[in-house]
Amino acid sequence: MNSKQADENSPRTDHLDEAALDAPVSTETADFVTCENCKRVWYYDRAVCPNCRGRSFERTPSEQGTVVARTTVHVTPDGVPQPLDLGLVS
Amino acid sequence: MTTGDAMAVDERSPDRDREPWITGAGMTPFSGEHDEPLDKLLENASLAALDDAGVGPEQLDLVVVGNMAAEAFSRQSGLANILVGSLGAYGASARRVESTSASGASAFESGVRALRSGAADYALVVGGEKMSTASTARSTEIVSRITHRREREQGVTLPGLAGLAADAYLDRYGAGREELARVPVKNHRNAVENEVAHFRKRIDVDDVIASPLIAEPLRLYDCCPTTDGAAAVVLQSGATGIDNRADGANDLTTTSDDATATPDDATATPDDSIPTPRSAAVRVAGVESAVDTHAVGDRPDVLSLGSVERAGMLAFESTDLTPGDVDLLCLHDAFSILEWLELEALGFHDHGSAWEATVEGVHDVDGALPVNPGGGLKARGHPIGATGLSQIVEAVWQLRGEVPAERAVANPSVALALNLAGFGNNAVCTLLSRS
Repeated sequence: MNSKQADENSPRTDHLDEAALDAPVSTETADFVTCENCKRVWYYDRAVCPNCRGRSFERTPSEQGTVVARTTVHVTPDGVPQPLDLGLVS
Repeated sequence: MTTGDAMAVDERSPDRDREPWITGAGMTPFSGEHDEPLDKLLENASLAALDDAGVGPEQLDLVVVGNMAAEAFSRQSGLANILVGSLGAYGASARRVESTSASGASAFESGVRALRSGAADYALVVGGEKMSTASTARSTEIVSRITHRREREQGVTLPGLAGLAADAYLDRYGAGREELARVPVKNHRNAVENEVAHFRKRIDVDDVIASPLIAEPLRLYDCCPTTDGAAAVVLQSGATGIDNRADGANDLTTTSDDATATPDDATATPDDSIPTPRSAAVRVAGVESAVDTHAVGDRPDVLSLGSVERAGMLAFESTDLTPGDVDLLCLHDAFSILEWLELEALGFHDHGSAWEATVEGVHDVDGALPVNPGGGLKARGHPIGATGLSQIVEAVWQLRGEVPAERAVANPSVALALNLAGFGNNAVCTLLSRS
C-alpha cells in the first residue's frame, strides 16, 4: 500500500498511491484498455470487464475519432495547465 | 391482524408499520463561512430536526451521518460517534455514509431501508460539510479527487465534464447560451426568500453572461459555490403511531408516550424545552439509487445520465406514483446544465426539450412543474454531504406549506428530490408524499 511506484497491474493499490495522485497531467495520447478475453475496448482502466467479466486488460493506443464536445477549462487544480482544452471524442 | 368487520380503524398491516415517515426536518443556514466546526453544524441541524419532530435523542435507535470529506476539509473522522455522544443518543446504532456529492441522500436511503426492514423505528439522518476550512485551490483539488484516476491525469474535473456536456447540449438541441442562463437566474430568484440559502440575491441573464468563464460555455454563475452547512431529518416508522388523516394532520400519539421513558436518573424530569411535534408527517413514498460508469468517457452519450434514469425509474416503480403526480422537484444543479439533463433523464421532458420548458417558465415556482423552489445547489449552496438532505428538508417544508408565499408551490402533494454524485456516477431519487 505504501508503494510509491505506480503499478500498472494493481489499480486498487495504485488508487491509494499519493505519488500517482499527484502525477502531472498527461497531454499525450490517451491509451485505452482492451479486455484480453472479449477484446472489447474501454476508455479507462478498470477491474472487471462489464461485457464478459474478464479481469485482464492490455493497454492499446487510442485511434482517431470525431470530437463531439469541447471545452476550455479556465479554473484547474494545482499542477494542471490553465486554461486547459478538453475534447470528448467518439 | 383482525378480520372482516372486526378490523379496527387504527389496525395497521405489517407493511404500514414499516412505512417510513419524516416527522422532523431542520437545517443550519448555509453560508460561505460558518464559525462553527463541522461537528457543531451536524449537532445544530440534528437538534432542529429532533425538536421539529418532538422526538428526544434517547428515543433514537439509528443515527446516520452523510459526509464526503471531513478528513480532508476538517481533519476529522468518527462524525457519527461524536454526534451520538453529544446528543446522548446512547444505545443507538450509528454510522457515516459516503457517496461523494450524494452522501446526504445515500445516508437518507440507509435510514429509510433500516425502518423498512424493521431494524429501526426512530432514525436521525443528518448530512453536513464544512468546506471553508480549505482554500479555493485546495477545495477544488479535494473535489477533483472524486473523478476517475485516468480522468484526473488528463486534467478532467467536474467543471470540465459539465463544460463538455453543456457544449454538446447547446450544439445538439439548438439552445442558446442565454437560455441556459435562465436556470441559475430562476434558482437565485427562488433563494431570495429562503432564509437558510447561501446566496439571497437576484441575478439576471446579463450577470451570468458577464461572469468569468469556468469551463466553456459555462461561467461562474452556472456553477454551485462551496458552502458550509448541515441538514437533518427524523424518520419514524408507521409502527410508532403516525397516522396521516385526510385533513393532513398527523396523530403522533406514540411520541408523547415514549417521551415518558424513564431517564437514568429517576429524579430527572424531561426537559420542557423539547416541543411537541409541530407539523404533519410526510410519507417517504420511495427512495432508490443507482450507479452509472465512473468514467464519463465510457458512457454511450455525454448527455445521458444512466444513474438518474435508473434511480428515477426504480423510485417510481416502488410506488403507485408517476411523474405526472409530482408537484415540485429539488434537483442537483451543481452546474446549470445538470438541471436539464436530470429533468430529461427522469422522464419529465423528452431529450432536448427541457430547455424550452425553462424558457417558457414551466419550472418557475408558479409554473406547471416547479424546479428548485429553495434555490437549488446554485443559490441555496452545496455543502457536499448536506445537500441531499437539504433537498429533502426543502421538499418537506414545501409539502407542509411552511415556506414564504414568494417561493411556495401551490398546494403540493408529491415532491421529488434527486441527489447526484460526481457527474452522475451515482444518483439517489426520493419521492415524498403528503399522505
